[in-house]
Amino acid sequence: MRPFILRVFGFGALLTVLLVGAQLFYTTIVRAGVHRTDREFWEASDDVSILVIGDSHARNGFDTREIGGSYNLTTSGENFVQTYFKLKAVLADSARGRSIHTVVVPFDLHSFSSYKSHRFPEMYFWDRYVDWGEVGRALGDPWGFRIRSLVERAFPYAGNWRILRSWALGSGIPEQEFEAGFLVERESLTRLTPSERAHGPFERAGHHFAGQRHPDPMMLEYFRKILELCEVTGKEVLLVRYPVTDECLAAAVDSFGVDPALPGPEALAARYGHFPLQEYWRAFGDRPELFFDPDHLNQAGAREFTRMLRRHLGRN
Amino acid sequence: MLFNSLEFPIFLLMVFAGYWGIGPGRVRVQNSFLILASYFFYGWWDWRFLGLIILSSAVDFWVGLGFRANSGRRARKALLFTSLTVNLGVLGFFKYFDFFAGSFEAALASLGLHADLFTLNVVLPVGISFYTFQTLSYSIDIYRGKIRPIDDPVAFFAFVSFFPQLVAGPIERAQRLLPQFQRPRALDPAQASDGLKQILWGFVKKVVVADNLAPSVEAVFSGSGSAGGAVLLVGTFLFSIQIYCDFSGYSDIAIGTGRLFGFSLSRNFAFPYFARDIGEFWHRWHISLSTWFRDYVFIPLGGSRCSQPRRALNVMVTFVLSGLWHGANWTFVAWGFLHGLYYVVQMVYRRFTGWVREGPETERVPRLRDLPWMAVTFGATLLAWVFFRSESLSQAFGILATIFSDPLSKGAGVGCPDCRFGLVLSACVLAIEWLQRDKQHALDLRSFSTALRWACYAAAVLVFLTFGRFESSEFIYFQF
Repeated sequence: MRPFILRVFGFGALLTVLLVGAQLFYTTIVRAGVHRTDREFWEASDDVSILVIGDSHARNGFDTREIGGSYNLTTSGENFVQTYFKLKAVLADSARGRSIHTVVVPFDLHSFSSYKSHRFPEMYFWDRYVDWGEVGRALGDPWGFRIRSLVERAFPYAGNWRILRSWALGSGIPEQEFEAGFLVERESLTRLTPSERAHGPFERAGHHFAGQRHPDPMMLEYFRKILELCEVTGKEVLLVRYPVTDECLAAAVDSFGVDPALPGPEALAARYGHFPLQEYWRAFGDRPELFFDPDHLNQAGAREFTRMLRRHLGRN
Repeated sequence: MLFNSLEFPIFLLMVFAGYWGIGPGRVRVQNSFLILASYFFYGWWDWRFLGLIILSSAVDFWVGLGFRANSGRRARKALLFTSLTVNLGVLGFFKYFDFFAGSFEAALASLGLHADLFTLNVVLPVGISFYTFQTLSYSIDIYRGKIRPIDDPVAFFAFVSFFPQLVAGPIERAQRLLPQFQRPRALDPAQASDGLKQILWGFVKKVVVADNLAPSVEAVFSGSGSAGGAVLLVGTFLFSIQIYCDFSGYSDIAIGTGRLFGFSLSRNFAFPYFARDIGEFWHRWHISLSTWFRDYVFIPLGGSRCSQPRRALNVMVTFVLSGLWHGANWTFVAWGFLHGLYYVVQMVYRRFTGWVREGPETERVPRLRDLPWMAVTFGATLLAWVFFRSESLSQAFGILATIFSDPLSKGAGVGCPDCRFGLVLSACVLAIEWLQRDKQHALDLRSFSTALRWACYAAAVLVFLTFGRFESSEFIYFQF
């Protein structure tokens, strides 16, 4: 029995070392750059006056070089729950809370889809902001989320082989250049080939809307909390719809029955005195040269779109 | 509760600690503890259907006692009839009522008659096809005099509800498993350790392979109307790997978990895609079900001890019923029918050529020179999987028509997303199992050095964590 127990402990020790090594490797090397903008925000001087929050559509779509004093504090895949908690932490910081006077909040079709309400990738990063107990209670699974966050902290790479592959191929997170949170690499880069333009929109729309509730009650609730937080802290809000290709919009509306007017969220925003900026999001629909993929702008598109937002941010 | 959920490892750890904490000599207490744990495990999914397991267990335990008290032929027949009626009645109601009602309605409509039969939209209780067959085998074996009835309800209820195999098998025979509940179990470190390795391999197959193939297969089959022959062929191949890894993965987890508690559950899969003919395939695929149908359907019908035409009929009936067991849809009946046809063709071939397969199917290790026969057998099962996976017969026939008319075209649809990755995963799992085809499971590495063994186990853990899909997904066989 003793040799067996020793072998078990020996293997257990080896496995523990490997798993800890994998965890450190993933968080400090593979994914170090992904959350660099977050780190730089907190390290940077506290003179940000316009804070851009949201997911990859805002990340790709708002070029901070066009509007001084802005910071693009977004994360790919971020949902309103994560955005709310992050914003809460930022505004609770005395220096940054004081300097920020406008918050640019996304108002995209997919932002209110239920596909986002259960997706919390990289919980190990979001531990610093999100109260998982509150999120779990909202989703009827308070302990589940707490346990999930602990497990993710231990195994952040779990299920993320595609990210590891990207890193290994050098297409992941190399030393990139950021300007106040905005990635400056994607000048005219586009993946919107004719084939991608034919199939991509349906796949993207399916990813966001197939089998999902729209609008999702939890996303609506945390959107409301964001507006309420801004109201309480005296911040101005600009609700922005980021451009997508016409094909992407058509796929969402025609194939998945999404109402592009977003009446529910619009009514909710109106209660707080906000009206989403609707003038520009369809202006790029038939200009593929401004898109990286069917629903993300490239840098040229971001530059043009951000210039359109200037007058709404008092930067004519 | 699903095996591939966050709750299961916590549950397993607690049950393991509690079970062995009771002490190896206290069999009755351990069995009682297992019953509670198993009902908790099942009730986690839906506590309302616990009543059905308890009913099935109670009826067959009472029937067993009845057999002991009555030796008269009439009484014994009545008791057997009771067991059959209750178990098959419950199964038939929950699983087949709507199917037969709908099919009858469709048949009347085809004759120009209109009938508005009501359907119940009943929820199918998880595992019902498995535990009813398990309790039925107890009653039937007593009736046949193969086993004696037991008078210990705790052991019997524990045998029926034993959580590792409750919801998706293996379908255990009382003759094999029940005595294990009646004798003391001791914690055997080697057995438990090997059980953990088998569990790990089961999880790799389920979470890494099957769950990663699932979206590709779903995309192909849901878009089968516009997909080309090549896409459909690849999709069907990936499904064959998906269902094998999903089900055999579950069985590995179940068997490995059983070993943690000192139980030896039946082997359910013996590398079926290395079978050299259809008969051998059914000695390697879902062994517990195929032997159940052999012993309780095929043999009572006359088995092989009758004329060739009658034997062929017995084979067809057995396989069609086996197909129907899998689900309330004509596609499953067609799947079973096709396999029955394959078997009959093989029977006829043997009769006219005198060909005999050497040695027991599961004991002889396949060799590379058997590759052509393996390929033919695999191709035949692939054809049948089209029916198994399709939503309807018309979809299945449409897919087959496209595959055979234009096997190289991609078609106009979205294609097969992530298919390359799926093919790599399939190749890896087949290669590993080929190398280990003489073992009980792929992580049985006793012949390796300690360092190499540890490296393989560690690699399996890392592969499971890195490549696994962790959105909780049900096992395919839960729907049966």
